[in-house]
Amino acid sequence: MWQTIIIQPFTNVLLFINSLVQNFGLSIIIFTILIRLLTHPLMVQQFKATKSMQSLQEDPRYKKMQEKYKNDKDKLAQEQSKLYKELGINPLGSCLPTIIQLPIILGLYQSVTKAMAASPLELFNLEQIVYPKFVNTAQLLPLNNQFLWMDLGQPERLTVFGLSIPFLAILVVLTTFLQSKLIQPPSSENDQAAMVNQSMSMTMPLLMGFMAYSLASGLALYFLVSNTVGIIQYAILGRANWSNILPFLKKKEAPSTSKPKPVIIEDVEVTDPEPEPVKQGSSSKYSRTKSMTPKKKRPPRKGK
Amino acid sequence: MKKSNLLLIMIFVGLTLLMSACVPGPRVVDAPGLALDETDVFIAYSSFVYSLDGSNGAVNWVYPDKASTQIVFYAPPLVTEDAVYIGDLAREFHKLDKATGAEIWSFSDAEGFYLGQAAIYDGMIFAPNNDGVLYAINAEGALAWKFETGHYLWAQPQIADDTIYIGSMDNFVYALSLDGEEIWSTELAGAVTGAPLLSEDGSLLFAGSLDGKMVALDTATGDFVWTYDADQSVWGTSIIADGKLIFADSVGNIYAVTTENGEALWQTMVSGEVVGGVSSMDDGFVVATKEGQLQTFDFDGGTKWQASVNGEFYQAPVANSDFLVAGMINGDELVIGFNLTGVQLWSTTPEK
Repeated sequence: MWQTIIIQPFTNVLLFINSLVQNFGLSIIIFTILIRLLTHPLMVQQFKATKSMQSLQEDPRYKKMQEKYKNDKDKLAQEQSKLYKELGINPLGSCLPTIIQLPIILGLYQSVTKAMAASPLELFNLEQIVYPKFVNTAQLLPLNNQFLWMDLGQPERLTVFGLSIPFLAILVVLTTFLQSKLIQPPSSENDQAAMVNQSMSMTMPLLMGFMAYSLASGLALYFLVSNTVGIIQYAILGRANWSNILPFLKKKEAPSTSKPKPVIIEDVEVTDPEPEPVKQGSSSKYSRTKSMTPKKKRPPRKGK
Repeated sequence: MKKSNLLLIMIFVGLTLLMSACVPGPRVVDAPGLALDETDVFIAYSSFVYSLDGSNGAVNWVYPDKASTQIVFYAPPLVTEDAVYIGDLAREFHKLDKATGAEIWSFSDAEGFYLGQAAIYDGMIFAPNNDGVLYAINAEGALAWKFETGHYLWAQPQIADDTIYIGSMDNFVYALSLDGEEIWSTELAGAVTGAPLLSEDGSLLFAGSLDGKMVALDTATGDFVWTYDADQSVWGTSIIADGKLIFADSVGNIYAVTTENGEALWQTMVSGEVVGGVSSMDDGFVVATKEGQLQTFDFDGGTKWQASVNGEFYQAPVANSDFLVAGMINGDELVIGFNLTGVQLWSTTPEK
């Protein structure tokens, strides 16, 4: 099923591209770009949904209900659901595109692996999944796995002054790090999400780097191209936070960031038949935020 | 620069240097390589080369002593009177003592891994490699010369009358002199995975290719003498018996044609995909399928006996005058032995 729906068509497209360009390294690059472009609308949708969720988390009503129902998960879920409806947010909106993209990325990975057949057994199994009317196997197989200094079917090493440097793996680490840094929101360095992001931006590059180091270099090439295209996509969509990697682009923050000012919450509309009193210090009108982002006083609502 | 950033960079550089010193294991999967002599079976699979007693499957010796992720064997061993020659995926080619499995020498000049069976002629070993190079190695294990082709070399070279014939995955068949000079090369329409075969008088060379053709080339010039169109790609080895060339295509068709002009004599089939090709027996031939069917025929295409196993055959079985052995993957055992009437003698997955 997985083979028929995903791997077989992907492999055939990859081989078809190779029949046009006659270079497997280039075929991987073109195919990866093609897949990234095809999944671009999903990425845009994911960005929008993520943005909405981020805005929601900054919403005082959301924070208020988090605090208020911290010991009543069911009630919290109920209230959150109401708020989602009110604001028109789909809570799965940010992860659904990712879930849809996952089989595509996995299929791409597996089809690249399959196409780089380097033994009779692997090549025979590749021949069996080729659409005969789409790809001329006799002319095309086996593929030429040489690309630049790499054998795309084997882990990559670039020998410099007698040292075998895993050059591609290093580039994969750098681009993965760059990508994860660029998509981190700049405004939440102290909150829990930021800590998770921080941790991910360190572990993911190492994980990807290890994979690029130990797997066939065709896959490392795919990781590299995918990361690079991803960075370009973020930049085009205006979602790349360049200040995360180029600190001089960061605007000077107001001194108030270190000492957050109280934020007036006047528009809490949490519905509760029996609202409980919220302990917020001396005045119920004020609340402290843990965010580093300078908060502005909300303008009073009309009619107040 | 922050101390933490500096530390991160130093860790990164350190890891890079550390990893540059390590070589990960090869990323290739293949079926076990098999060879026989009069009494023993030699199997190359995964981390080891095994010598088994052909009558009962008992292990005689194992090479090397310890498994390594770097050293993987799939190439069929070349067995001579006193030695076993085998290449691995770590780019090493070994000469082993046939009686004990002890290494006599190893050759490590290749840039790719060994999947094809080597050949020996006049004391010189000819080892095909996945870097597309045929390595000529002298009796002491030193490089005599090398000949470069355009793609993988999986097929065993054929040698006769001081001429070496090799089929390459670059679609060419090459004829070389014993000192490595090209005599001629002929391009086929597809890659050559199986060993080319010489006619009984040595005037013709037969080669099957992935474009589904069996061709006969003039061994003196490399010119096409005849071409036979099979239904599908021709992967494995062929045989000559009673003046007939017998070969199989990948969907299980078996063809017999005359060696002189490629005229069809008979055609039969097995149910399944044939990768390894056709192997000779004393009074017939055997074909093994990916689906686990083992079928023997007489030279007129009549079925003699067949057996079915839980496993996949990707290599042609091998037979001597007493027994027949086939290696499989994804099955109950790695290797299975039959007598020549089809009675299973043993099956085993040898362990270190």
